[in-house]
Amino acid sequence: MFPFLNIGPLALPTKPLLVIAGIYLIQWVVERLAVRMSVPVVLASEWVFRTVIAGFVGARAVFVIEQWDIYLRNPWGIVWPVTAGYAVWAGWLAAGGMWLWFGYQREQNLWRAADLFMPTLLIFFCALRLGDLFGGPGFGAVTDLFGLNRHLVQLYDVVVALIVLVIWWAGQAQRRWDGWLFLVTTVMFTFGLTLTLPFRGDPILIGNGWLLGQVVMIGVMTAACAGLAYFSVEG
Amino acid sequence: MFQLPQSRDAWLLWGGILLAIGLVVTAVSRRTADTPPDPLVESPAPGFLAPDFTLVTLDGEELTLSELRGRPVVLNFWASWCGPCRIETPHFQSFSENFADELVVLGVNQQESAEAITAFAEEFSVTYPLLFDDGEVYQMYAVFGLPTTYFISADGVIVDVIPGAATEAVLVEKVERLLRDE
Repeated sequence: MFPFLNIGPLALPTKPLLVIAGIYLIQWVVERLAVRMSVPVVLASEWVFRTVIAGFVGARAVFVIEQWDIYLRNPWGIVWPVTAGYAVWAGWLAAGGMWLWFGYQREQNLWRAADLFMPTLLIFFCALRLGDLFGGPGFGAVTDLFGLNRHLVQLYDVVVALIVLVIWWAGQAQRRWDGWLFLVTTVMFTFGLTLTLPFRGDPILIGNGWLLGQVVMIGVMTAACAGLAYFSVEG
Repeated sequence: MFQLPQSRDAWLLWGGILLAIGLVVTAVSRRTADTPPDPLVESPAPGFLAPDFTLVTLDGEELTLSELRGRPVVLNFWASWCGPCRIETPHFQSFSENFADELVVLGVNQQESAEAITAFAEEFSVTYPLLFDDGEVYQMYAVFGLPTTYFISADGVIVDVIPGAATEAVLVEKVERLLRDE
């Protein structure tokens, strides 16, 4: 839609700009929320920073390994900053791994931290999806709704994430045990994505035409619901 | 603001309701053989049919995009004054040599003279077709900045766009996915 933001002779790529803005925002948010959750601010800030760096390095490293033959001929290309190429799945794995390792090493309550960090995940997700909408390859299924050619599925995802953010905000005062807020928002987020996934134009299909993303979301939602039911008091 | 469920029974109830809705939506959105395919509308965005054009190459031959159907096309918009274009051109050259049998690489120049294009081609030993564009195709593809690269499948559908400079590794990764999907 708008892959570049033109300021005079400068053409700034929109997606990287939005991702950088998202990282700045999650850093800002986590520093303010850490106090509420009794997590040291400096530690929370470093936790986010290391997680984000691990995500980028992991995504980049796996991409370079996948294309090693080419980078062997052009080693400077490994740190080429403009259109670097990333293995997104590896980025999420590396970020998750670093998040767990850092918390474990610093002897933090990971469930409480998960409650605290949930908004950062949602905000970063919003930045990525807006980046896809404005400057990336993501696109939605065909429609003639509102005179559009395609569903603005990235925007639907952002709306889901914003609603879940509101639920997280409202849930803070109702939080009875560590991990509760994380599980509640996970249920809501995965449920929301189950509803928006059919509007994607390029979903990954598995046997008999099922959408892989929906199957995964239903699985995660069920697990989170089971966790909530298991740990909640009877009544 | 509003009360979220707290007790086990409430979560079993809400979990059941959400799961039931989720399962219904999942079942309804399953893609079956009778799900109609996306109509192919010309538009310069992924998922749409690549807008067709006819341009003249540096050798003076006319080249029409739709006549290349049957092979994937990598369409690169560039200009010799554009710094990132100069950086990425050796990557495109090497890439076009390695994938010469599988796809077509096209370089669409932006409103420059034959002399400027020839000098550029010689400087970077470019062998893939370079095309003259007076800005019409640039507008048609809604290009916002140079360089920009479109990946077009063998059946003429845009599958990906890279706004900005691309390295050979990025090109290979995109094209391997494109060739695999086909």
